[in-house]
Amino acid sequence: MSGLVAAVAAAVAPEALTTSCESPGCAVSLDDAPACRVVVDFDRPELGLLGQTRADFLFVGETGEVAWVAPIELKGGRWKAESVARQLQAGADAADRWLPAEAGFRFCPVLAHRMQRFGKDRWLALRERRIRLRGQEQLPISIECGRPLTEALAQVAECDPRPSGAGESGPAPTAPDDAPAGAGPTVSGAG
Amino acid sequence: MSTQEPTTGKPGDYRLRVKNFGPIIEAEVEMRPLTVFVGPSNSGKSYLAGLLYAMHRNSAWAAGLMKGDLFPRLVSARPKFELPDSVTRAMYSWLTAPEGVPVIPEDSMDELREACERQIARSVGDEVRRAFGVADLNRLRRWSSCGGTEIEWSGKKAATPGSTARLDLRDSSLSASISDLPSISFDDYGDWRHTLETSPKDKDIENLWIDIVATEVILILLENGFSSTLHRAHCLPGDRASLLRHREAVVGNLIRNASTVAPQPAVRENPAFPGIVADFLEEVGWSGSEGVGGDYTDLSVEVEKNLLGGEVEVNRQSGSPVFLYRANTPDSEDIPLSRTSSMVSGLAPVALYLSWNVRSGDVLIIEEPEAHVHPEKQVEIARQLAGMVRAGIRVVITTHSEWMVEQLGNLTQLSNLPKDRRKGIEEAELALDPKEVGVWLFRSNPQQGGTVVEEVTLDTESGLFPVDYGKIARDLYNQGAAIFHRTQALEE
Repeated sequence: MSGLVAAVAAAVAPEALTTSCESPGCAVSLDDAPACRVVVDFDRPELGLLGQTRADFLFVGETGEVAWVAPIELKGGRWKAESVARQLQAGADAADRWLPAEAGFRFCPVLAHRMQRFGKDRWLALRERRIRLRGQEQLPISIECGRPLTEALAQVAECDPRPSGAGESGPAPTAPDDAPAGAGPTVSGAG
Repeated sequence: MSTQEPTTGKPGDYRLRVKNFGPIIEAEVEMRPLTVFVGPSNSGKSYLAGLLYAMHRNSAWAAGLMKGDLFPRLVSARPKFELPDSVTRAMYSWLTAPEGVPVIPEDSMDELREACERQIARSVGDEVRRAFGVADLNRLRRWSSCGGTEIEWSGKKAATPGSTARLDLRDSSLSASISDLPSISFDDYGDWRHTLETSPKDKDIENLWIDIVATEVILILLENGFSSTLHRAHCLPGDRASLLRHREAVVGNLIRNASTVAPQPAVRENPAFPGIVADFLEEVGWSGSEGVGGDYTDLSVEVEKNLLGGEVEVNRQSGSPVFLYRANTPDSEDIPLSRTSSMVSGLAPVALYLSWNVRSGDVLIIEEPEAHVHPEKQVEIARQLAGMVRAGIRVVITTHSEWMVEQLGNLTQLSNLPKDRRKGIEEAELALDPKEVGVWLFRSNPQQGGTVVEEVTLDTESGLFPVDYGKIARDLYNQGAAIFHRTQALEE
């Protein structure tokens, strides 16, 4: 394990940790997502980001070999490429503050949206947007609301030829002592 | 006798509902001056367009009966209805009742309606079989359906009550039922009473008169319900480019075979053209003939100029038409359509029909007008279609073209702009009122094994008709994003 999950869990106010990715009108399922994970809810006031451009969630997870960092933006209605890109970038910027300095991970910004019948213009516009984190520059991966996050992660995993776990090291993550009561395993599958 | 001039109806809107027809699970569409069927391949767009065509063709005989002198056309129509004696007797009683009866008695109306229903089932069934080239209507039933096929149409807009006819196909048997027919007033038939009183007291003559009155009533009932389908329809099938290119050879071979007396070599059963194709081959062959003509030579010229980039000529020196194309370029020569691009041979029929076939109020059905056409010209096609609507043609298209749909969205959006604010906009005269345009999306429903059809309205924010190309765009985007991720990883 890279220790990414534990590091982020320790860096973020415990009240801002959550176990699900849901907003009115859209959700992303965490079924089958790496069990060792932490999910940050950017709407929590403890983060001090209210009133600022921000993503909805940050998912950080790891298996024995691979670590993932995925800012997630949920759109239950209309959206514009420009604002989605700004929000995901804000999520990536927050992750940048919380991630250990030498962490290795796969960066996968995620847009979850409802499959509305609009034209291709917004997809063309989104194609021109890049989300950046620690030297990685990626296009958002899109999935439909209700779909598992792994659907997005798999798209990156299947096409990412980097040796798994390269350069990753660190202690096994542990659940923070002050995780919110009743919130379930904010950091789960540790060890 | 009624002196009211029969009308052939105006090309008003009507509603068509089908169930279990071809791949269609259920569809309910309201026909507008411009009706667009959009959706995936094999979703039933052409089925519904073909059905519309058949309905209009079926009504052609009724339209003919409503033109010209009343008496001959009634005599002509009379045998079609096979009226039972009971109707004749009831009608006689009604017309000769000393005390006068204001409307046809209910029992008689029921029998007249039944005669009407029999005629509708027979004639629509025949025409649908012909149009689709099937001997058995069951071939048109939805394949995965256990239920029967239903076809229902209302002669008026869905929002207002009007006569409704419904056809049910079960076990190859087609039945019709009509509802909400108007009552027939004696005031319109008082003259017939005088005719009966003064005619020779001969039972056969009396029966003839009564039959004719009943026939007129039936025609009125038909017209009341179906006036909007009484207009001529033309259909340019999706494979028209190939048909037109090879029409000369096809027709030549048909004629040669028809004149052969000697036994033909044993071949499998001769395939027949579906009526839609046969009608196209016939109608396009009228081009350049004396005594025929469409009302839209000006629109035809526009199509030639803006889409074809040249003129379509018809050479009838040999009797049968030979279609030639001459590009609008210096030193160009006439070349047969068989040697033109697929775009030219696919759109040449549009120009030919506008010049030689289509009249005001006619319905022009064009399957996939964008076939073989570059996106830039697809946009121009949409403009031309709007011009046709503005000129009084009722246009129905099937399409896969997002470019055309987007242009139609713009033209529809344009109508929201006051006329005095349209200055400088090239398409200002082509604005389409949203009420004039009906865009119907055919969507696959794998769970039920077929297609459902729903109307999509203009999204005022984007100015687009949302016709489901977003999913294709999304999938392409994700594919591109995944490739991008891999490329980025390689560079690191």
